[in-house]
Amino acid sequence: MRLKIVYFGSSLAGKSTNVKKLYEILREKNLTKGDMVVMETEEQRTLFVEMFVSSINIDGYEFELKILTTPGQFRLHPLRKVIMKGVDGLVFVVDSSKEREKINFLVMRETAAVLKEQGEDLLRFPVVVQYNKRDLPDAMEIEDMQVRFNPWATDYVPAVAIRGEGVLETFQKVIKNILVRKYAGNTLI
Amino acid sequence: MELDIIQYDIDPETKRRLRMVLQNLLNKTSASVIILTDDAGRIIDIKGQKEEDLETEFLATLISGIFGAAVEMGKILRMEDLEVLQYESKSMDVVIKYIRPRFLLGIIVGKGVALGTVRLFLKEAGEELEEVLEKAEMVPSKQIKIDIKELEEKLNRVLGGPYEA
Repeated sequence: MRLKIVYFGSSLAGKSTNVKKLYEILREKNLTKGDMVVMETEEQRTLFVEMFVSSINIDGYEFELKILTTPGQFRLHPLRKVIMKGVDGLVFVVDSSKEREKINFLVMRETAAVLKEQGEDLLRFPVVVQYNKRDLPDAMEIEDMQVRFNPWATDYVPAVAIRGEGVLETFQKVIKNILVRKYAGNTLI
Repeated sequence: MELDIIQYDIDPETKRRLRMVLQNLLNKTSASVIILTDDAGRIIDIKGQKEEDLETEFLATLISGIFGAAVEMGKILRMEDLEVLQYESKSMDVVIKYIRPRFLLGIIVGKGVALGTVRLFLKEAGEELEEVLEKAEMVPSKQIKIDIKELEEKLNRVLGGPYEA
């Protein structure tokens, strides 16, 4: 079974860091297929996409997982639409910094609009929310962030992606949520 | 709660016909690679040198991404429906054709083959593929039953639990 997992979030929220760390972790465990593809600008900002393929086996059942990031910069909106096509599950990477509160919300709203164009409803989509950069001095309280950025009441993971903390846990939860949403009808996750 | 995870695949007769169309196109164009993918970049079938190559997954994603980006540009420019995207390099050419309802056929050919000829054969193959895909059926190919707790435990075992820096 092939699943497409996309990491979305505001610019500089840590989407690329998550995916790069995840690739390193899974490669060490021999769970990646091939290299990672990175298409970024000279300033190491994502231009189009970062992606890699992971393959995991559960009870002889092969899951081929394509993991991608969306570019975060506002002007790259058309490319975000392209990456989102046919997505099976999302990771919403939220920057915990208080000053990024508004932009986090705007990204959520934009993503809802992109999915709507594809006939999907963000609020009924398998999502995991990752509260990244928990080490920042102005990090918002998780309870406050839950109210603002987790309308699904879905799983959330506090993370410091740059140190690898919360990266694998986020990945595990999104796989589980995709499978539950796909194969357990209208179950609340 | 138990999950009943079923993998679906294209029915064998459709698969056989798809392979035949791609093989014919390969024979006619001497292409190095031909990829049939959906618009989300999932490979339906592939023919040529890279059949077993790990990079084909990325090729398929990039074919769908590049074509998707061109469609978005087309919307801004108010172009008619985009049918074919083509680009050339010194050593090879790439042509991507839209196949209804939501597929893409990418072909990579060396400089020895005239692009006009490639586009002509691609058009023919596209029409055949549309006919085949219209009648395609998805059939269950594999199934596992697993409850959510067990799934979490197995994922934890396979992926190795929380990461420690």
